[in-house]
Amino acid sequence: MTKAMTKAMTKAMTKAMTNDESAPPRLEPWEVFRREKDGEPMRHGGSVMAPDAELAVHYARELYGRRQESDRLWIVRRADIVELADPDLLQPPLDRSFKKPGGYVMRDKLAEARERAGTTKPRGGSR
Amino acid sequence: MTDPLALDPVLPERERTTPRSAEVTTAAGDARYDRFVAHVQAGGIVEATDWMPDEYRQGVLRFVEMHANSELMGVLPEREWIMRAPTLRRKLALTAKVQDEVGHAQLLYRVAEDLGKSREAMMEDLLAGRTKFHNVFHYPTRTWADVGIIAWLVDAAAIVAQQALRDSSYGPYARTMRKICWEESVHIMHGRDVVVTLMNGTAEQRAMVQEALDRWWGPLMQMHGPRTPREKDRDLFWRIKAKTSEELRQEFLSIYVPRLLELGLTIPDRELRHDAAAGESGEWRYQEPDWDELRRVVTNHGPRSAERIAFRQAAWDDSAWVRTTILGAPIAA
Amino acid sequence: MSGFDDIAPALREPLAGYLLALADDEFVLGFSDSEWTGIAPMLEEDVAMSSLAQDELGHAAALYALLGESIGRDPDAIAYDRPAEDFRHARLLDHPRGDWAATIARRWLYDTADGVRVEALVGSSWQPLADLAALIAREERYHRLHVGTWIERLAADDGEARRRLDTAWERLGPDAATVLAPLPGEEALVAAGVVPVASAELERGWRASIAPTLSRCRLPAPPPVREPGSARQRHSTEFRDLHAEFTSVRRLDPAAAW
Repeated sequence: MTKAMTKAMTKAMTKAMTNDESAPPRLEPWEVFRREKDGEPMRHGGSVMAPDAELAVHYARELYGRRQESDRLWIVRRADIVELADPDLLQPPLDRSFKKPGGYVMRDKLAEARERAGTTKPRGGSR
Repeated sequence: MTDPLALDPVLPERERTTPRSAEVTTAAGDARYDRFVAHVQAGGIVEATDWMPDEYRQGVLRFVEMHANSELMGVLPEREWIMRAPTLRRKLALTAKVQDEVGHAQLLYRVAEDLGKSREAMMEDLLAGRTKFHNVFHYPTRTWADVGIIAWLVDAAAIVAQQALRDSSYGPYARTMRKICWEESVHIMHGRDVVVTLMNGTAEQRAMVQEALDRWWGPLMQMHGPRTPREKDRDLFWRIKAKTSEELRQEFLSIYVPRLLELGLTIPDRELRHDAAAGESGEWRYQEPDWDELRRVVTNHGPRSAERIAFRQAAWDDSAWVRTTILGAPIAA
Repeated sequence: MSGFDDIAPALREPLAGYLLALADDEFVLGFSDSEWTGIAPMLEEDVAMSSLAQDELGHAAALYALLGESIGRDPDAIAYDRPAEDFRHARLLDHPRGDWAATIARRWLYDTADGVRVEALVGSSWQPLADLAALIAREERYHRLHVGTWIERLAADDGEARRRLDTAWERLGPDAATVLAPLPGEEALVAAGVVPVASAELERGWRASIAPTLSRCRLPAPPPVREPGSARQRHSTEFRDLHAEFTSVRRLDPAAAW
């Protein structure tokens, strides 16, 4: 096999391996989520620029883990994140208090019920 | 800390960044703009993907960009001493500290990038002198004592400003400031440890510290910028920052003058004294900083300005091939 | 257990020399690569390379401390109070860090060789060395991952990056194997199990382990060391200049506390 053919094959294999049709690398932001210890939820830490997942992982380790301050990292390409911030979907205007504990204030009703049943507790008792 | 608007009073007209009053008044009155102003002034937070007035976006970007530039240029006076650090532990500590400054530059440039300006454009503007970096990083470091003084006092002056910025209205910047403040606290301890060790050492080591302090005091006093009226500061209006230059300088003096004096050091300002009767809880009086010097320095006419810009340019040029071949150019937003 | 108490008297000097060589390797590579701090090709990469350099300095500090405890000398004095010619680092590390390709090439050659060396030391019959080697080995994994991905990327390029890698390889290749050149007094240490595997065998293992990457990257195998007897001596002018600089503050007053 000629040197030129070997070179061309290697180039093609490399392109295939990197899963990239157009050769030049591009930098993009990768978001880093982290947690300090077991049991905690993952929290957004920040972002790093990287040409691919492998270096993104190394850079995330450096910027968010080099001080042993994280015990786990999630690294996600920003372009792959789907964001919802639409107030019509997340903060629809009509009353939805029936979906929250604050929509069930029973203090007066309970007081009335206990009085009728003669079970009114002395002050300081639990509800 | 000398943010862009804080420097305006010392800069020639053509270099100032204060928006022209016409730009400001046309925007006001628009309902979305008014809601935004009410939101930030009530303590509300702005995120990168939120709508924001142009003046706000540009104000935050300039502010963050100068801060990022300063971390990047601040690396240069200190990194010279990594090679010369006199013990294994000091070498490790100093390398880690300078690494942290680079890390801070990364955090801050990322915030600026997400506001729409690329790293390459910011580097070009920095190297061309169109954007600025803090005065303190335009000066030479002459001895090991300088390393201690910078790590302690320059970082301290910066942290006084940075702590206030943890409540910035711009969310990504505020969160970055919290991370940076946490990391900076170690630097200040390292710097103080170097200084105290020298002060407990030989007469020559003590003299080295005093000599360094004599050189650095002027730039430190200029660092937060000249006094400016609160009402005219647009960065305060937008709550990008929360304290004035003078408030920061007073805070710095209150904490650090006693800590310097207790080591037996002399502060090279015969007018420096605390006037307990002035203001709410007393005020520091001091010799007026040399604002001409500040202007010369931040417009890149400082003792090491040209050399450091050239060094940065050379490093950028020398590594360009790595960015073009392996790392790549950023994908356009 | 500290000190050379459980080391036979005849082995103490060779072991001290062995530890010094290891420590000097890490120290010289560490302070050389720490020079990238602030000026690496990209900020994120700057932080990464600085971590790698700091790790080496940390390993050096631990090795100087182990040696210092054993011979009753302050680790800083061992690191700083010697003339340049008394340093025992491998000739590979006498080369300046060069451009990014040269740094990566040198790192890769060093980290792969040192990796083989350190993993063998995990089985040392001298517990303090075995324990330290185990800690170092865990940290070195990340180095090999990071430097490994860089060498593949540089090698896969079909332009300037590849050319620079080739240039660096030509210059560094002849000194690559100095890291595993046999050390004076090694035979006795090997016989006692303090050094579990002899250098010659380590070198064979190293060459076998790097062969697949070299093949993939189309890089020639490093040649055998010329003048193995001086693999760790007669240091370069560049090193001497660095030595003058890194001792400059300390020499103001070696007795002072810094």
